[in-house]
Amino acid sequence: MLCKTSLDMGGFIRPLILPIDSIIGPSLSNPTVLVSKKNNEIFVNLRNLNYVLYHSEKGVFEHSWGPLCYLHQENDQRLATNNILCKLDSNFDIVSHKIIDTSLLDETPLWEFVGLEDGRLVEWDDKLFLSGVRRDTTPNGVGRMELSEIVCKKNKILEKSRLRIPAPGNDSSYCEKNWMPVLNKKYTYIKWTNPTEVVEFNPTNKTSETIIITDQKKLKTNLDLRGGSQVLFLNGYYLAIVHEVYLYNSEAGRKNADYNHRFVVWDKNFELIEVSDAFKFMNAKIEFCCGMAEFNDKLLITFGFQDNAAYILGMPKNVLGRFIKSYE
Amino acid sequence: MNKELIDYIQDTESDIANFNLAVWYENQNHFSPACSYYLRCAETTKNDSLAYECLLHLYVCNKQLSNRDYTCENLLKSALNLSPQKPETYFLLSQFYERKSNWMDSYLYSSLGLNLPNCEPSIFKKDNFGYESKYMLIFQKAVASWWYGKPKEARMLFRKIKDEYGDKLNEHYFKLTEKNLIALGSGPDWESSVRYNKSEFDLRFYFDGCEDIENNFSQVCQDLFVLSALNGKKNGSYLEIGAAHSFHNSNTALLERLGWSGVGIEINPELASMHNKERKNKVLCENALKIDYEKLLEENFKNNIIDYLQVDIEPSQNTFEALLLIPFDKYKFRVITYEHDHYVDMTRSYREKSRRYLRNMGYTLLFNDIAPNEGCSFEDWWIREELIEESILKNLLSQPKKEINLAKDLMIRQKSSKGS
Repeated sequence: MLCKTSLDMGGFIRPLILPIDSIIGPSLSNPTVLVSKKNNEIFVNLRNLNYVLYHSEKGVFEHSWGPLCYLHQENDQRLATNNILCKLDSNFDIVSHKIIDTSLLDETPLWEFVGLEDGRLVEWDDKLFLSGVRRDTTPNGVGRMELSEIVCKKNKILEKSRLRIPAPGNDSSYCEKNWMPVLNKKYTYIKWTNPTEVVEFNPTNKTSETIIITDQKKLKTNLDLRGGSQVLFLNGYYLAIVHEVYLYNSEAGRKNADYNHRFVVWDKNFELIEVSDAFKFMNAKIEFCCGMAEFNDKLLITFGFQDNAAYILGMPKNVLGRFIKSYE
Repeated sequence: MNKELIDYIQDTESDIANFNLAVWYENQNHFSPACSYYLRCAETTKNDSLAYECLLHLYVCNKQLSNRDYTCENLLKSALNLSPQKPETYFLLSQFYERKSNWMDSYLYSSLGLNLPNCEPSIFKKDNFGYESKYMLIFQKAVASWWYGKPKEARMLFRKIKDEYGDKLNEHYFKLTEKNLIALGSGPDWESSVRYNKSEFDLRFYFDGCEDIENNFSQVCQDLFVLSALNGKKNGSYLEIGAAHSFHNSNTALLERLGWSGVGIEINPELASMHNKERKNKVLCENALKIDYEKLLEENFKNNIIDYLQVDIEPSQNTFEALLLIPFDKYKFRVITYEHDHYVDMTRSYREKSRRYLRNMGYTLLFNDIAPNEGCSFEDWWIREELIEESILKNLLSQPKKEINLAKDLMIRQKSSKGS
């Protein structure tokens, strides 16, 4: 368990919570973190959800809808997300926060999943972006990664621009999500890991292009590795946390899920060279990481717990060696 | 660092660590993460009592999040499945259905709860979920009974709470029970009143001119009692504190028809106005507790002996306080009807207080606990012996003493040969 190992080796963990009257939905989850290149400020974005995830992990007290269900208000069938940008001090306490005002760019949602989901913070071209998936622009929930520029203006945090990123090629896929922004390569994402596909977005003409697909020359794996945190360039390697999800049905045919995470390492040409063993953060079956940043001697890792809670883990860098030989 | 979180990370399968972290979140009104850890605790623990407590916390958290009724119901029923012998879930389910105006299910779960061999609250680590005692289940059943078409049961249950738990109720339930007892009263008119009409009934006490009376107006024959005690007196005098409706249940309407004069006091402007339009004798629209009675009596009565005093304002405490304002040292009353409303008096004290006081003032309790039906003792009838005719006094005093005097037995009797 990553959190326990980190704490045992001198790390820290903080719950990321806000005064309840300053948020919209009941849940704060799937946080992302960024340490600004400009001034070392720590930013966190919290995904504020309108639902509560009910997960009967051991099947003892299942909801009558099944072991895993999204409990939203009964007069609101949407799964809605608002994003809250927070600034943390050097003790990793939230010192300010604001709901990102998206009203300049909002359109009437056409699908039940509303808002920008699982955004990752990234600084490119000296601008702050939140990049996640949006599924509310078509009546059938087609999901595409979006890139939103976030600015602070007159005591407000505003979404200044919103660019929808087409899937590379003929843009025909149903849902693109969890692309991992590469922090040191502007407008570049690792779309997925196995095989590693690197996509570059052109914000001027709003096209995307696959610039690398590796053929696993150095490491072959059959794992279904999906996106996760941003991609950091650390000690000559690219590093990210990715997730796997095991979706299955209970004996009664009701959906259930189990998530695991792994560190993955690429060389500077994005050849996959190492994948760690699977780990949990805090031993819930559903956890999700979409943030990692380097801060002094630690990696700051942000993750959601059952979609209901958010945490920031300060992991000493030497913990990495426990999981990844490249960092021993 | 947050201790509860650290403890949890050290042992994520510890039921107590999960519970403590849930409580930490719940205390900050972060109900969503609290739900995660309560559920983990419930599923991890081998202690059914702790699992039960967690499920109730899950219910409370979801209730706080509002508009998640299906889940709330689901969670309560999970708790019920786990611990059907514990009362809290029945109480909470009854409240849940009450909020939805589902009176049948509210009644059902309160009844099932009351059928438990032990309705004492469970022992919890954090709080009691609002359930402190069996009376709360009775209260739930009383409320549900009323709306579920069982008004008699509702009244009976509220009275049971008052009689058996009156001194144990918390302030909230004390006030609610009192309010309900007063609002529900002694029943609908056909159950809570005993009226005379000449064609159906005979009088038990005859008095001069009684054969001319076709019907009366009082709720439980107070007007007939006054006339019986004063041998059908014409042109008498009265002070009526709490005049209420001008005719319906009025103790003075019949007297007025027999030439009596007097003054009434009524706080309700509509009722006072109705009186003054429909009746000859005046009613003052005043608060009976803020009147200078000496001045009032001086202005409205020629001498210091007044034939009849009615004291009937609500609740019991107010009626007693009004009684204390009357200048008994300067004025005497031949007959008094005093409404102590014992059946709705949560303190169960004002009946006795009024009795002590009136005895000290020189009055004799002739008929105690007048009631229209069982369980509704609400009034005492008093006389000033030296102001009552001797033969009448002797007859009245010779009546058997009873714990409760049902007006239908005391004052009238059904004509036995009606129609033959």
